[in-house]
Amino acid sequence: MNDRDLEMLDAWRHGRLSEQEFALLEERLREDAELRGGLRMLAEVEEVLTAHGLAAVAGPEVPAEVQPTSGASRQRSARLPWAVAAAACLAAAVAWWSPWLRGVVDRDPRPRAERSGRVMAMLVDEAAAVFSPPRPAGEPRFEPGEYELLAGTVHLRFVNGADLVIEGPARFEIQTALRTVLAAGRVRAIVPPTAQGFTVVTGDAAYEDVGTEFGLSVDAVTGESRMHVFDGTVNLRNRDASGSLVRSVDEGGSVGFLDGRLQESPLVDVGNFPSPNGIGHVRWSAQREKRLADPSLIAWFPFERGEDAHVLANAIPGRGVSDGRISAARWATGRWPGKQALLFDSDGDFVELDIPEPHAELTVAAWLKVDRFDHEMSAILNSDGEHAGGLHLQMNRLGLPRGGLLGMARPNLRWVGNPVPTGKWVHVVSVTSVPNRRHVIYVNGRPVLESGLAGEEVPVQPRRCRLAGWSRGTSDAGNPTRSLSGLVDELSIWNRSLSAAEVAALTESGRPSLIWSPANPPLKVPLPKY
Amino acid sequence: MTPSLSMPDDEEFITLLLQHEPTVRAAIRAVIHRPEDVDEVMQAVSLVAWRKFDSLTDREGFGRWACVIARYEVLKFLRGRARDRFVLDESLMERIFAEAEAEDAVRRRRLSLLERCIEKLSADRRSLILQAYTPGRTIRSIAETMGRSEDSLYQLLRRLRLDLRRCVELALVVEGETA
Repeated sequence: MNDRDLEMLDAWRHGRLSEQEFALLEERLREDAELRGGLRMLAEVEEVLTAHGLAAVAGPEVPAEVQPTSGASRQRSARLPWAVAAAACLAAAVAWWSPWLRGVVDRDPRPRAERSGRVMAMLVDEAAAVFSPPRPAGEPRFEPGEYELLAGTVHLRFVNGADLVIEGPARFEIQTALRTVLAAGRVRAIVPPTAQGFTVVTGDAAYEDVGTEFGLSVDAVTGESRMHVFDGTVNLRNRDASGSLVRSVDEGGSVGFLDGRLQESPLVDVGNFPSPNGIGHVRWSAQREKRLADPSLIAWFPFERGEDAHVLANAIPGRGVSDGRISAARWATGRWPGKQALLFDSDGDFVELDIPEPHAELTVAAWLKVDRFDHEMSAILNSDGEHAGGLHLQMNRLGLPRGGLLGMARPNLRWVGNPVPTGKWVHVVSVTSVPNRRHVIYVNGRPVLESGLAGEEVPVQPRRCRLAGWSRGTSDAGNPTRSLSGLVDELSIWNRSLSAAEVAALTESGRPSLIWSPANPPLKVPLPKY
Repeated sequence: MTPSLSMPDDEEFITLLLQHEPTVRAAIRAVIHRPEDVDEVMQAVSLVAWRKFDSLTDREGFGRWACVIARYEVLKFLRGRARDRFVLDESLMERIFAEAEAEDAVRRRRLSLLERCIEKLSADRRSLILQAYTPGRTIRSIAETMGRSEDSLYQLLRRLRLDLRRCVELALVVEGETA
């Protein structure tokens, strides 16, 4: 490869070659791998320049010294959601309920040409977030601009992969995908190699992450900033146009700025920086009081490990449902780090509990993540034995939920939705109403199994039950195995029928993250007969 | 036999696409020059990747996999422009793409270095070359504004592009020496 080759490549790309020259160039490309590499590099140059050019048109006023590092990322960000959105339109089964995709698909009617270069970050999760002015409900996109988070916590993922978790009250300005100004508040930045150079700017300094995680707080009144490096290195730079390096801070180190003066090793409460994984947990925990206030909720197992690791505590004692007795199942991580679940992995793993009283209606809801469907049936919650009034909630090998009320026939039974997939958190809800003679099982807020209940009325009386297992009689010997392989991290029981809207809201409130999709794939084989 | 029921997870797909989109676009750009055409092909690649995400078992290989999809989408796109005498022949394009697939990681690094190389340009050079890539601006209009001929402006821009390429090449060499 020589300079002439490169000039020809460039001329070809800009329509300045004759046919003869083009034939010669093709020949050179065929024989010279280095020249083919040169072509790809030249293409990369043009791709990045194009991104910068589009960003210059689409973006807001950005400090001149920042623009060159930002444009490409900004442009990429705008193209991508629309690519995904188009995919989502075709894959409607997946897109029907995802806030992320719904936001992208529905909220921006502008022609494609007008959409270039706006989105800098996406809202991955939030807990009790209140913005001023309020943001449109369900809007996940963050464009360049100033934001005030009055309360709560948000987790933003920038288009370059950087994660920024912001705890309110906070005031910040997203300038580019690589540069955010923090006027006040507390943040944690987690920066992958793709976002090296991600910088959070305060009144006194610019904190540039060269990998991989730091926390930063800025006092709203004094403007004092304190930064702690959890992992990797952060460059502390002057925030002026020179951007000169003041010093580098390595893992475990802290620095601060007060009144323009560098403070070495200030006291930093490292445990108080928000974390991305904690947000969902915070959101879920915040609903505790509201949940417990419902008098029809007769049992709630939040799966929080207590002093006795063999007890699955019912947070509502005294409403007729016992604590659970854990047999062999192990405590593990649930929907969020810091939130526990129980891992069921062998036939002897289950939890025993008692629901002795009869009820005209009963709703059972559980969050679970199935590893495998090992058996003909995998139980979620099954009454022991086969007595009239016993309740079964389980899944067959295809992941299709099954169950109902023992002692009453199930006419008109039909599957109307998609099965439970493996490897994904799902919310399964069984609603049984004897007076209405109806049984419905929902998965992620949508009905999947519907049936009538026929014959003489039998009240729902589960008595002794197993979570993640089934015992047919007094001895387990000879029982068909119905053990569940996977995780369960929440179980709730109401003595009434929850409406479809309530079930959907329940799923929404416990979702693992904001961009978790409730849609599940359809069966790849015809639906079997029951 | 139990059919596979794993689903394309929104978050994982979007994260991977966000991470790899720049490198895939750059690979497409090697053989397709017009940005709007690159957009069209990238859109098609995203659609196919979305539909087939279930079948990708090695999620770490997403970039390479997307590049393979891009190769087919590029060929499909260019077949519609077969009359264009300045389109590379298919076998050559296949080679260029096959090599691009193998250098997914280094391309990511090059793109990052490119940002720094653009920063290193003098302010007037940087402004000039960015103008040339600003939608709505043409070489002719910029040349007129500058009082230069179109040809001399093209020569200048070409030199800047090749300088940027060279800057990245040198930065990679320096990184290699200091690694």
